[in-house]
Amino acid sequence: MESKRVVPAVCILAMLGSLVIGAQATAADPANQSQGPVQAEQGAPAPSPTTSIADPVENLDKRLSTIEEWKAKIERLPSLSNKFNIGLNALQFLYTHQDAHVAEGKSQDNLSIRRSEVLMYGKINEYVPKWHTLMEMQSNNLSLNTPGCATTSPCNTQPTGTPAATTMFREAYIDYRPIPGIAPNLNVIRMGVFRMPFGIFTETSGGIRDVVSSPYLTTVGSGTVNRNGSNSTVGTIDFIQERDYFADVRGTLFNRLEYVAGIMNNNNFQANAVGANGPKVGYTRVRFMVTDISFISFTTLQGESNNTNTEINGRGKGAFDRYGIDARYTSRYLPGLMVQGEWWQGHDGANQTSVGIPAQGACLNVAQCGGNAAPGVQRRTWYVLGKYFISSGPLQNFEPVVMFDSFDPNTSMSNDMYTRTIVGFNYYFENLPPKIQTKLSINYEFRHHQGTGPGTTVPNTDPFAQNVFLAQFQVRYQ
Amino acid sequence: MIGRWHNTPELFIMRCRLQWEEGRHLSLFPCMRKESYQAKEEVVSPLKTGVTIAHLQRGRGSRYQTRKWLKLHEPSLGNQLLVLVVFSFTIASCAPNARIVNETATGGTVLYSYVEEYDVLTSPGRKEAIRLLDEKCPSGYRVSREGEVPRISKAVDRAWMGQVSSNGQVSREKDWAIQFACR
Repeated sequence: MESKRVVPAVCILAMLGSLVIGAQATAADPANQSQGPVQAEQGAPAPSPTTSIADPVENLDKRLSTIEEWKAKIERLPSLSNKFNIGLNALQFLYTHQDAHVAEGKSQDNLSIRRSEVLMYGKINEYVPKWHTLMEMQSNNLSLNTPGCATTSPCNTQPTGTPAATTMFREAYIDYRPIPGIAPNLNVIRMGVFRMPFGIFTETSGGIRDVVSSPYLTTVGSGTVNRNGSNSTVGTIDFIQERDYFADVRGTLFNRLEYVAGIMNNNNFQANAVGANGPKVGYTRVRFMVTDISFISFTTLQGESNNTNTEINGRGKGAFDRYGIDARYTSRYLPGLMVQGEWWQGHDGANQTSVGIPAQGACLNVAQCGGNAAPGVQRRTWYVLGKYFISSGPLQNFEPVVMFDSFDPNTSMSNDMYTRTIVGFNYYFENLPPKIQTKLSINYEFRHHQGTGPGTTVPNTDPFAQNVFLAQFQVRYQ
Repeated sequence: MIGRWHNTPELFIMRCRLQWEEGRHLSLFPCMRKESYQAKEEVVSPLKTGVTIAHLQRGRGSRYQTRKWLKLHEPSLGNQLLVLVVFSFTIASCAPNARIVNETATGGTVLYSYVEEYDVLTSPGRKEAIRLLDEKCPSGYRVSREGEVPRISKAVDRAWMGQVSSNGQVSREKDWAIQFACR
């Protein structure tokens, strides 16, 4: 019986002891005081008169100085100090359907990436207000060199050129402002490789063009020159290259007259790998801003070109010149209307060649000098483009575009004209200014190519004589 | 019925002169200033006095010399380009940094372009705008409001982001407007 009395007493003592120890442990752990069901059952404790609420103003200076310190650090980040920016100049997905007959293994329907251009740029200081690089991040063909003629065999039987350069590296330039105090009268000296200031289209970035195709003034014609000799209208002709290596001076006078004057390698963007094409070529453009959004300008290129080592199709040996007039009218009376046009004429030296086809000298003997053995030629091209952006109504954000393009590869030869009419529209998706721009472009091109001279016709494989449908989706982020 | 005014050259010159005589020259073109007119007159007057009908009535020998002279001095493409460049410079010198739009007898809106935000108060365009305001309102003016305005229209600016530039690249140029009323 005694043992039965002792056991409950021990149990009670043990329970009391555990309660006391538990209470002490709870008291020693303040974190548990503010949570747990026990407290919830007890209800919220009344605020003690000795407990103080943190004053938000008390540490204000300290907190502000911390934020300032953090801000100063962040501002030094290259991306926020404008020293380094990265963007997407244009990412363009293109669907093409062309009626021209194609070779076995090819299709009339083609899906491709037209451009995938990653852009980086920034400003170092007032003396270097801009640096710029642009990479074409897609599958690219290798560019061939254009060899001269060895004396061992006739030039027109010698092997074609071998791959010499890739085309991924597209643009890189530095702007140097020698005297900031006289800018923009003498704004910058620009050096590098970039879109050349020849007219409007050549200089316009691929991400802000109005039609999918480039005008014929940049490139026209297909295939290579006939190695048995041919006239000057055969093969591809790159009348004005879009890019080149150059150094020039740019500025604005009287707030309305923009000028550019410089020299270039005259060998396209491959010149970085294959070097200049003969002596330097000089160029000048003056652009008169009739209003702040409309202008007229005059451009000229003067120098010499060579057919050996050229990376530009259709160039011969000898004098080289180009004269251009361009104009753009942007209306304020009819907001959304823009009309622009260019007219170009120029001379290519004798014995023009296609890139990769051996050529050397200006003689008109294909066995001796290769090339097309044609005399020097005067070429002419022009286009006019109009568009209207619809800013309200059911067709809001649509922009109809129409363009007529013409290229005469030899002004003294008949039946050799290239012409086309482009009709289509752009649709601008909701943009996120000032960075993101997205648009869809639909174009249909009515193409016509007369022939390669009197009495000639073109085959049904000639892509410049068959109509084309193009659909392009573009994203741009800068 | 009120007839429509046509901007004939004579009328244009007359308007300019009237504006000058009233001392309220509103032309945006510096070359249209009074000094320029005087300079032009000075250049023209010797020609007027020096060239007479008698001078133009030359003999055969003179005509031959003239033809020879013309042959020797046949305008080459280079000379034509030079003339074109000089002509462009001349026209360009008349261009303003700022312009008045929506002009009324007692006010209007003056516009100028700028690139960076900090240029709004320091750009040459603003100085030109202030000069225009002073000319328009000799006894002072009151600015009712000012701020950035679209270059073409808000929707078009948004769609053509960067396209409305002189060099085919992204343009950061913006327009600032000052709406004012003369006192």
